[in-house]
Amino acid sequence: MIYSLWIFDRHCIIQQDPKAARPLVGGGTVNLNNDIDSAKLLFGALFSLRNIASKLTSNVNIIDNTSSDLDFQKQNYLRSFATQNYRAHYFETLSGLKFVLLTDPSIQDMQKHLHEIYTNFYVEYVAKNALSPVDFKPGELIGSEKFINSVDSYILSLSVT
Amino acid sequence: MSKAVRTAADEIWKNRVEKINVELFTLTYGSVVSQLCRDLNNNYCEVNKQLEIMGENIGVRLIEDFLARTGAGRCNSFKETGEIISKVGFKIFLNIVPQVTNWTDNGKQFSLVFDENPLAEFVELPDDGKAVKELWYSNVLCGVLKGALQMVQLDVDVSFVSDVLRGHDQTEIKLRLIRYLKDEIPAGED
Amino acid sequence: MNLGKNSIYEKNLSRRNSEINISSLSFLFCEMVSYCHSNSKSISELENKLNILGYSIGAKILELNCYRENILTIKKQLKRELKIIEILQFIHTVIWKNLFSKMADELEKSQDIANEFMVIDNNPIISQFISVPRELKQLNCNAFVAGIVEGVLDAAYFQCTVTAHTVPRDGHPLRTVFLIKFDPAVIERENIRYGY
Repeated sequence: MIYSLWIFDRHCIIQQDPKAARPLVGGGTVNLNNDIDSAKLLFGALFSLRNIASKLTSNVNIIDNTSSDLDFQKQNYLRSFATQNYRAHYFETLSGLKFVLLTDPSIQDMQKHLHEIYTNFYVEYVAKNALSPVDFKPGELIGSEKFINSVDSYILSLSVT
Repeated sequence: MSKAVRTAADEIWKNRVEKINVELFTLTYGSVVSQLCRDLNNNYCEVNKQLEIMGENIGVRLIEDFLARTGAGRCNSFKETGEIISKVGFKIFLNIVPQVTNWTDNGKQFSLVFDENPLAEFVELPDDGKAVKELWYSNVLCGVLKGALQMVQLDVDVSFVSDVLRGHDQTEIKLRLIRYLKDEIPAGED
Repeated sequence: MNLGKNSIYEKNLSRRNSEINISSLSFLFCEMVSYCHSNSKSISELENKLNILGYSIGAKILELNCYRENILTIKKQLKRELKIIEILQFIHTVIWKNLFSKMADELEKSQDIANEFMVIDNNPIISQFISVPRELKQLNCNAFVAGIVEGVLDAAYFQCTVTAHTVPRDGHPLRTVFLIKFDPAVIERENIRYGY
């Protein structure tokens, strides 16, 4: 079961329209009235976990040495965390976009799908569309209907739903 | 490293990039620059600025396409960033590989030298004695680099050093790392 | 003026096989639309600005393609089309191929109006770049391509205005009609010359 999708930009502002995520909410387990507040809490939690994850890495943060090794810095990336009733899947791009998918805790790994959403839909319908902003103002949501519709149908098409 | 990077970039260019004749691109860019010159009454310094702004707007979008397509991870050093910009970035977007050169000792500044420049094919600067001294015709490139790098937390100063259109021997863009930007944190988390 | 080895006069005009990523054109085009959009008060003003940007390319494209088609092929002589139908065919095939790596899909003459012709593209590249938001529904960014066509025709002495209209058909939601309205004088000239 997939409950909802959230996208945060590098200013940590919610990009996905919670209303658009509604059809994905099954069983009424997500409190719709508190969507925005839950998003903020969810984001806060993920943000802390992500920082903890990167602090736990044994790899020194070698940001300014002269190493020419292509082996990209192996950081300790946060992928998901689970509670009794939920799992929050997390994918962050180097440009600071954060994709969060709330699912049933039994679903183990959604990295591939979050990456798909980024590559096939966000890049194609938001980043490449001049008439859609990429730097969002507070309160501004992704308006591209093409994006919202394609993401909705993509998520609904996943066999895990 | 550079060989592996080149092969990967070639593979992306060959198999995963939809391509189009360069001429429509060249002429479209030319049309934009000449329109800007008209709109800004041939104040070429202003034209340079506007081109840079347009470039930055492109850069913040283009970086997403770049990351999604290449799956590139964070670079270990600015040196590596330079290599990736040239061998992957320029290769997959403009099908050119500018030379990465003129590194300073502290590894914080380098130049890209262009043997060919698809933006400036068929171009001759206006013959008003002023453009040759003031206009950086391909300045949009500086903006693109600046905008794209900013999105991956690199604050970089990018500017033209020379341009064959001005009669110089080579076309050169200089990139100087100012600082690494910090992640923005959510309100109330600090 | 310095005319060194890098001068454009030293370059070969026949080079026509080099390619770039279509995304690069898309990004540039999008930024061009944004720039025009921020300086326009209405959609028609925006379309007009795009048309002008295309127009200035048209003449260059005509020269380049005439040169290649004639000088570089067996004909070895510079020739420019004189009949309306021939210049339109030239646009439909040669120019479209040069610009978009494919031919246009249809070329039609209006049944009712003598000076109206249509070049039709079922899936124009420009439309794939931009999905127009609801508040700009009437905007057709192919005004840019319409400008190119107008520029080509004008440079070939066929004065006209060209506009772009989205006319979807089954399986082709982005199908665009480039409506070409020739100056009455052009039709008149053609009638005198060829006595229709």
